[in-house]
Amino acid sequence: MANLVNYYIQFIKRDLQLAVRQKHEFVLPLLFFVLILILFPVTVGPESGLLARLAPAVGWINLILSLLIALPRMFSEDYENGWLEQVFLAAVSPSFFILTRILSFWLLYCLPLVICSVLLVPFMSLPFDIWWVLAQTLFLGSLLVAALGSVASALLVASRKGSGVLALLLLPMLIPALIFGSAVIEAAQQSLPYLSPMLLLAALAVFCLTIAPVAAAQAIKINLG
Amino acid sequence: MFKWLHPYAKPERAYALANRLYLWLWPLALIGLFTGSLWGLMFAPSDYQQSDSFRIMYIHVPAAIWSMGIYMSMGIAGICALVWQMRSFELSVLAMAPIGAVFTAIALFTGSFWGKPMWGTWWVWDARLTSELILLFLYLGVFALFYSFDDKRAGAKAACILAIIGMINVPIIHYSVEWWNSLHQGASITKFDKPSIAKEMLWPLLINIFSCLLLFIALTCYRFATELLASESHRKWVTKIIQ
Repeated sequence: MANLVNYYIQFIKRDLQLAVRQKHEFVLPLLFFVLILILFPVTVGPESGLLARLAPAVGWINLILSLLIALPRMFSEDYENGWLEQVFLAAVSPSFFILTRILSFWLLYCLPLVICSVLLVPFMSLPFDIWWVLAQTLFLGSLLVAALGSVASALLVASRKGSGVLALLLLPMLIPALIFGSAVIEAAQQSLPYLSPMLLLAALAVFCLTIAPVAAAQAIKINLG
Repeated sequence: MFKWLHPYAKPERAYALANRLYLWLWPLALIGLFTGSLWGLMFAPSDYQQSDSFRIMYIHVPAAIWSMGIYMSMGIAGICALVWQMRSFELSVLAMAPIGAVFTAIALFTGSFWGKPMWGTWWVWDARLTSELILLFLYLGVFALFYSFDDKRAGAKAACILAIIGMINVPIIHYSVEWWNSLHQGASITKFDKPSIAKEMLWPLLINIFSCLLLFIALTCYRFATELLASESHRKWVTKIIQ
């Protein structure tokens, strides 16, 4: 067990170090997120009531789209430089490695986006307490995106046409998360209790976090040949 | 059972079986579809409420039923492919994917044409409609994944994994969508909420459902046999067949 924790810390440390040394890649999804946020008021019009109604949906879809930029590179660099092969040859279980990668991806890309979604409050006049609920759903939802995205990214690690197909694989799978997320927001907007859809969303995230590492490890094994 | 199944691991035996099944089932399916549709379209009594426009049911319902059935069989074939590492199963997954996609598309289009006179719109965001639309994209995903690889074997295996994941996910999507809809708006039009169907209407429907199954098996066998020939094209038995 102590051994596994040790591995875990090493893997995460390496991922964070790499991200710090390649700042430009790490910032790209954030910039994309902010840009899309600007596009909405420009196209819909600056009417604050309408914008406030759209804001939670914009937050969710924007999060997913921004992550689609980062997801294709989840494993591809390590695949190209051979590091992935070494990890799969080592004694650590591959699905454990995938789990650490999901978590480091979540720390690096998802968490900043969830925090960044606070921009919805000034830009789209979303009430702050609704934003707080939205941020909780995004917190859980982004874990789910990272888990399912790891499978899609692992399946496509060796193919050159990555990102378009990745969207096709990932987006249909995310519909349950969107449904539960929007149910939470809708209940919160009418000041109804929203715990049950929130818990369902959390259950879905935990379920995906459990299954996805196994599937992704299998997918990478196929790609390594 | 395995003793009986084992010879078919050999591609030539599998090819022969698929070819024979295709040759038998293809005419059978056509005859069934012809009688079922003719009976349904010409001789079945018209509905007291929907008059003649209910007759599109004879295409719509079989296509919708088998769009789900094909996905399940594709997932099961995917599991078999990964467990026993047999190429034939991988090829069968690829053989089924486009057929399933076409069945789904037929169900969506005929449903839309049925919805226009009955509900007054081409499309509503009803639970069944939405999950059927997502199913179409899942099929397309399996296919797109296969084509995004240069190495066909790796692509087929990746497609198998996706088919399995989809099989786990389809019930989740289905029920979440149903839940979403019932939360959103109350009683909208549910398609199957009708009084139990008259016998004269039911028989042609059953015939059509069964012959659509036969059609699916026949087409799968045909595609499977073709894929098998293509993937084994350097072998002796293939050149013998082609000549």
